[in-house]
Amino acid sequence: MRRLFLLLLLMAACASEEFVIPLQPEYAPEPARSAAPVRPVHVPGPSPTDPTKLSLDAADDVFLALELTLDVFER
Amino acid sequence: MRWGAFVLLFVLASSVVAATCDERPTLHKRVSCRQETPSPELVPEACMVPGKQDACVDLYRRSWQCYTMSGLTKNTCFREQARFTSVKNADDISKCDYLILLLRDLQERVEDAHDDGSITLEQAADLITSIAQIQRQVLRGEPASSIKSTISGFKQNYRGIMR
Repeated sequence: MRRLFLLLLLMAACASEEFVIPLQPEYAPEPARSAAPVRPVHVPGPSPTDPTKLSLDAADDVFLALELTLDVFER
Repeated sequence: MRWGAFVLLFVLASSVVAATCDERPTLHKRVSCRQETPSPELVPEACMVPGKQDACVDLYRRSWQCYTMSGLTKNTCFREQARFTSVKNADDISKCDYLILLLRDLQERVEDAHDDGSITLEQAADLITSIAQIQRQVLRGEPASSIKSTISGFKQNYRGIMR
């Protein structure tokens, strides 16, 4: 009778959570390390002050040349 | 004889088109007409400022080859044609001439965009009209701050259309 009691006690203990062997967690791939884009380091050059030294490839260059020339008027 | 008649007809037709555009009552309508039916412009719209016309037409005539160039070479050409020797020593006339040439460069870009179908006739006419108005402001000798303010507004419009 005592053996049966001990057996039942052992079975109950084994069924308790503490004895549950944790299952292998589902494989979840590690979040990919976000490869931060390497930003080109902008090295500020000397700001242009002479409009005639600009290369007029884009319209923005022409606008800059206009603004710089008008600055010369205001000086 | 047939060729002579053909040439005469062509010359007459061209002069009729030119006269038609020149007779349009507003700057915008004249610009739009010329853009639609390319015709020689006797006096550039930019130059229609009393007392400045001859010098302006002369600047236009002698600087045409600059617009076949690009980048820094073009800018150097503008500087030479405007006699803009240096920023420190340039007189007001050469600075004004240089501004006129730069503005005309923007006009060339607008015309090219219209020719290749990137922008509509109306958009091209709007931008070219604004450019001519700014050029006239420059020739009238208006204050730099006022011209700067007009250019600032125009730049937004230009960027919006010429994307």
